[in-house]
Amino acid sequence: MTQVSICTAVIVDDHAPVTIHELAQCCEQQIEWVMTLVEHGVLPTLRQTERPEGWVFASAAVARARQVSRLQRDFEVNLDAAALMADLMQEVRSLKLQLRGF
Amino acid sequence: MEFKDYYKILEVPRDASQDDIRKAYRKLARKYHPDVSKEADAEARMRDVNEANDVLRDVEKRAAYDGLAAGVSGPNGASPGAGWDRGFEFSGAPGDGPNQAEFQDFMAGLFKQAEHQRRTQGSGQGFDSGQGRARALRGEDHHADIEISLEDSFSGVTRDLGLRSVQLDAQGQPQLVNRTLSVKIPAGVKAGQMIRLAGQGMPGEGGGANGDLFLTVHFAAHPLYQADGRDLSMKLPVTPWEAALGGQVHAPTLAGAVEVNIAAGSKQGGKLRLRGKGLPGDPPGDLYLVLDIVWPPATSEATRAAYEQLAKAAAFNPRAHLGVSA
Repeated sequence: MTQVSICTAVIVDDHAPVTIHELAQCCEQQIEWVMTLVEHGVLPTLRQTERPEGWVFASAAVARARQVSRLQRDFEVNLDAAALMADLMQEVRSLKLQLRGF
Repeated sequence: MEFKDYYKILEVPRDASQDDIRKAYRKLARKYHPDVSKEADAEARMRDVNEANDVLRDVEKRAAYDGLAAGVSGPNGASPGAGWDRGFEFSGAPGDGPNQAEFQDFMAGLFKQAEHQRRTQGSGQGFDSGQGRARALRGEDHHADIEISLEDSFSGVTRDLGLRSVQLDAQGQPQLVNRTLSVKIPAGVKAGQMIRLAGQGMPGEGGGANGDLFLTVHFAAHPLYQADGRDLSMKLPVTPWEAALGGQVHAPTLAGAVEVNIAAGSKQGGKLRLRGKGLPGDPPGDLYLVLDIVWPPATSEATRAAYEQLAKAAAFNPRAHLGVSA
C-alpha cells in the first residue's frame, strides 16, 4: 500500500522551534534531563521563559542534545564528560571543514 | 527481519560474563560510535551493537533472549524456553515456535513496554504535557536525515521521500506501510538545520494529534563551494599577473557568473567577500573567494623566455627569511 501526500516543510529555527517536551522525547530522556543541560550551560535555548514549558530550542541544540544523550548512554560517562566530548567533536568537525576547503 | 545473533555482534562467546560483555561493548562503541567512527557503516553497526548490549547486559533480558535463541535454533521450531513469553502478546498460535520476524517483534515489544512503563511512571513527577491526565496521546515524532545540494538550498526544492512505517491494522496487527511524501524544502536551509513536517510522524492515539517528522539537512559535497552556515567559500584560481597587477575576472556564484575586481598586489590565499552571494536568508550569507595563484607551465619557448625575463627583473629570493642565499 502506498500513499502519497504533499506537505511543506518549515525550518525549525525560523518558524517552528522545538519545545522542551519534543527535545526530551527525541533524546529519549525526561525533560528534567534537558533542564539540567540548560542549567549547566551545555545547551543553549532560543527562548527561555520562567517556566520550562515555554523554553524552545534551535536545530543546533537538538543535534547537540542528541549527541550528549548518545555519548552518556553509550560510554556511560557523566554529563560534564559527554559535554566535553561533544565540544571536542564540534571542534574536530570545524577543523576538518577548514582542511577540506584549503 | 533476520535473526540477530547478539553474541556474534558483540564478538563474545555465549558464556561471556557480564563484565566481558561490558568490555566488549565499550570496545565496539569506541570503534563504531557514529560521532567518532570513520567506518562507512558505523551508524548501522552501532545500532546493532546497542541493541545487542541492551539485551545482553540486562540479566533478565539476556535470559529471555537465550531461551528464545535456543528455540529459534532448535529442531523443527522447538518451543522456546519456559516463561520467556510472559507479559507480551505473541502473534503466533500458542506453542508454535517463533519465527524470526515475530522474535524481533517480541524483543521490540518487550522493550517498548518497558519504555512505556518508564514514561508513564515518570509522567507523575514534575510537569508534563497532560499525557497522564488525558487518554488522548500525541503520536511520537520521527527523525530522519535528508541530503540536498547547495543548489537545492539556494532555490528551494521539492523532494519525494519514501517512508516506511509500522501501523496497526484493524485487527491490531502491525503492518508495514510504504508512503511517499512530497516535501517542499524552503530556500535558505542550512546544513545541520532541522525542518519540521507537521503531522507526519506517528499517528496519535485516542484522538491525539499526530507526531511530527523532523528532517536534519545535510549538504552533498559540492565540487566548487564549501558551506559554513549560510556563507559559502570557493577557491578562485587567478594568474600571477592578475594577482600582481590587479584586474577584473569572472567568478561563478550560485546565481550565475559575476565580475570581481582583483586588487593589485593580491597574495595567495587572500580573501574577497561578495556580500549576499551565499545562501539566501535574512540576512543572506556571503560568498568568500579565496585567491589561488596558478602559474602557467613553462612548456613553450615563449613562456620559458618570459620566466627568465621575470627572474632577472624581480631578483627575488623567497628564502631570504630562512637565512640562505638564493
